[in-house]
Amino acid sequence: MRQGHYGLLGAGFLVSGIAMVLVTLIVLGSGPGAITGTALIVLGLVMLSVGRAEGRMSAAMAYLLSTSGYQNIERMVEELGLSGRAIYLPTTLSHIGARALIPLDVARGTIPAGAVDDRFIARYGQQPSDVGLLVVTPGSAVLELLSSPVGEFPEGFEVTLSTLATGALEVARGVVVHHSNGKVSVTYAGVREGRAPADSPMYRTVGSPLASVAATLLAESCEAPVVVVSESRDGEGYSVELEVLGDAT
Amino acid sequence: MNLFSTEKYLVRLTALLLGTCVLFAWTGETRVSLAISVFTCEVLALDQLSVHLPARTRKAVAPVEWGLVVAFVVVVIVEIVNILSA
Repeated sequence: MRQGHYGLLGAGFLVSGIAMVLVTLIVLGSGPGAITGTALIVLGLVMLSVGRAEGRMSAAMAYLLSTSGYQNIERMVEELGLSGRAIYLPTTLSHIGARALIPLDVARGTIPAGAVDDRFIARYGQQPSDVGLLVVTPGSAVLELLSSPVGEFPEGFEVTLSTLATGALEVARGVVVHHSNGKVSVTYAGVREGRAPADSPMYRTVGSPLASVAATLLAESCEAPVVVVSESRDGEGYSVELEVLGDAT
Repeated sequence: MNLFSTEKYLVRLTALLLGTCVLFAWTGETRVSLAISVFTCEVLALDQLSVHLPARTRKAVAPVEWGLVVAFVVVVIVEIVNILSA
């Protein structure tokens, strides 16, 4: 059921409930009928409230905006010929918020040690070639949905990711996290929407939105840079392999 | 059945309230005031148990909860008045 129908459904329940209460109490004098009508009124009010909580922007408009933003970054990544994996930085390593750094020179493999300036083209090391693109990802924006900071790894990370994925974002039914030797495996269970990882420059560098969310939260939880190693989809399950740089786990 | 948290909440609430109606009918209970009291308790309890409910949904449902609590208080006051005036 789409959320856009909750308001309509609630109004239907509310009108039916009021009509049932009036008819059963005044005309029929039936107690059970009035009780059922009261239940319908309560259900109607709750559904109307849930319908009111929907975003004012339509899903189609949100899709258009997010797609255009993603495609713009994709075009830049493609034009610049960037092939390296983006490094997800925690807020402690970037001045404004969580960001993803796409290194221009992959071969060097330098890890940002200190805070990186919040510029689109950012320097993150001592050498002239230690330059990369500092981009905002879906994961960067998701931090604003949190009511409290991400807890410590692994419990805090799993709880926060699970709460976000099943609650605020409603993208999965559950999240399972495994970790060993700096590698973290995140499996989203019951992913209803989304496709298999696309073979596009954007997915190869930054990763899918689900991977981006997991990587950003892991970086925040470990306070260390994180890269998306791989991701795959199997039916309703979506697996993301992450690596914490600097062995913070 | 693959349902997200808001949908699960609404399905559970519907099953709970309508199941209570069936139970009332089965036991021959016809007092609307009792039904309002039970519905209030059920809605409040389910909201507390639905930990994954999005914050915006929880916030939107809060006025309904307050409305039910007010209705419950009115029911209690009416019952007290009835007892005292009997």
